Amino acid sequence: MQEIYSSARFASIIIIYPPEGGSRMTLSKGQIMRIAGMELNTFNLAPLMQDLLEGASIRTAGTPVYDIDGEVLFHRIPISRGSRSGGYTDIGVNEVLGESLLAVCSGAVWNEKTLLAQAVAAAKKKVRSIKYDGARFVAYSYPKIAVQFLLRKEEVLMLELGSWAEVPKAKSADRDRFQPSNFERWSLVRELPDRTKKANLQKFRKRVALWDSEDVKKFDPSVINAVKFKKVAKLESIAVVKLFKSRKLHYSTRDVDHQVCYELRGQQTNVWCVAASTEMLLNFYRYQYDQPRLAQELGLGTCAHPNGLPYAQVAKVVTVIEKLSSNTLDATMHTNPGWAIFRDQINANRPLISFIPGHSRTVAGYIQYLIAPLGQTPFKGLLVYDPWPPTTCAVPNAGGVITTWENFATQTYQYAYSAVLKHV
Amino acid sequence: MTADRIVSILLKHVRELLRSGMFGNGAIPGAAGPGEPLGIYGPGGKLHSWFVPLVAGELLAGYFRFAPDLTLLGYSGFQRYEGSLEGCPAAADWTDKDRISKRAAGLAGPGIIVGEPVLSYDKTPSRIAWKVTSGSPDGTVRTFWVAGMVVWEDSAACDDGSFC
Repeated sequence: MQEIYSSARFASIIIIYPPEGGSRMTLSKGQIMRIAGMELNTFNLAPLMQDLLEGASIRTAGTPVYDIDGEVLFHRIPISRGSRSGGYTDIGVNEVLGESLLAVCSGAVWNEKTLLAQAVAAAKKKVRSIKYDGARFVAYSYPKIAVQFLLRKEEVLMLELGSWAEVPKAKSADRDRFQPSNFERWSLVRELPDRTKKANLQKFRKRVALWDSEDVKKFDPSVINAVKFKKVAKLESIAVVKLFKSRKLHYSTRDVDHQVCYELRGQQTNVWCVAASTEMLLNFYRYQYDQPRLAQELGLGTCAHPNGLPYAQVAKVVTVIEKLSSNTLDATMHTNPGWAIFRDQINANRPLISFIPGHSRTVAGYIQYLIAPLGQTPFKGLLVYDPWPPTTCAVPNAGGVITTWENFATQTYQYAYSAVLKHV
Repeated sequence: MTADRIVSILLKHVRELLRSGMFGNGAIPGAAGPGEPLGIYGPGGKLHSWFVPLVAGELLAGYFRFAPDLTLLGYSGFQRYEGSLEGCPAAADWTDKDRISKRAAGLAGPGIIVGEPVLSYDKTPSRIAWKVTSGSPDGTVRTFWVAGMVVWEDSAACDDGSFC
């Protein structure tokens, strides 16, 4: 079945293609709407989320969003609040995702027809004589979306949603999984490891089956209503929505075997944040140097006459880490580090020193919410071991705070340092 | 929005955050709850953020920080171990203005009168401390910083071009 839209604003007929070959599990529009309603009713009961969705409703199955390889990944479904928009939700319809609720947000109103009209206008600006017989929304670099123009099912142009910049053709994937370069198109379905896909398939089917169970079968989920939902749903039987992913440093990457393994050091003068941060990182790798010695190596003076680390000497941190570990640690300085640097280093069980304007701390964990309440972007936070407030050289075992979680969106990250143990 | 309304929202928000279990360094022994929210003021006396102490008996377990628009900036805890308050500072060291003034006056020297402490930050917002100034008949103004039990005088050791 095809859905055909026409609009006075553009002459061409837009055809939304159905799934090519379809996903392994086929869901009807009615089922997708029901899943969306049930997931949002559950989400509405989560701590801190209460009442954010209360009274909102689901009226359509929304827009299918395809993987680069052609399978439908999820539907982006508008959330209605009377005649107003209440944001949108992304509902996974492809089992490889493992979850049905992917996102809840209202950062932008989701209006498929308007966006397609904008895409057509942008396409004609780029290629005046463009010929196409269809267009669809594609997660070209999940979760980034583009509009793909097709002629006889072959792509003629792909424009990134919103920026309307042309998405380059696929490059040879000579790289590790999930490490695409900037603005690279890649397939989520193809890059997911087979083992993950298999596990996700079971998880997804279990979740979808839950919404057809006897407990909730008679419940109409099209309107989000906490009181009614609580009455019919045996909440203990409903798997908790995975709200976030998180990791803290452990003794090794085998988290189940060990507790969190990291120690706080306070800065022993009011200007020795770099010395204390370096001490924390080296301590993690079992190198025990006291802070005055580290300060001396870093050129930060003495307990009686201390000074900070000048901006021009940021590379010294790398030199000192490598020197004091007899080059067993291979240190790296990351300039303007983004979220992925912190997340990936922590996943590899490596602490980081983090320089922000005027101050230095270390990072020992992260949390990344997968879904967000209406009007907000998903929260990303760092577990920061901050050597501030200071202590004194006479009382080295005090000072510092552990910040859980530093809101990543509200801080400026200038440099980060990590270290890798060299192996034989 | 009135100051009372802001304080009421902050306290409600902190209680919800504590209930969620996502913030704080694990279990806090004894009854711990939010103390009176305090403004953190930047240069020129402009409100930079809010400091909401988490008080457990006489001790300060940590503090929440919020932007002026009440966006959560983070929770900073003094606890070294989950379930233990060992090593946490006295709440009064961070919230009692008299105690903070006395600490600054101790460094300023005999006979120097210090002004009212203002919760602020030294150079960069992560370095929260109480700012206390003193004047003298010759017009010299000195600035002291108090962070818990540590007190220091403004100096060039941490100028604008360094990480401290």
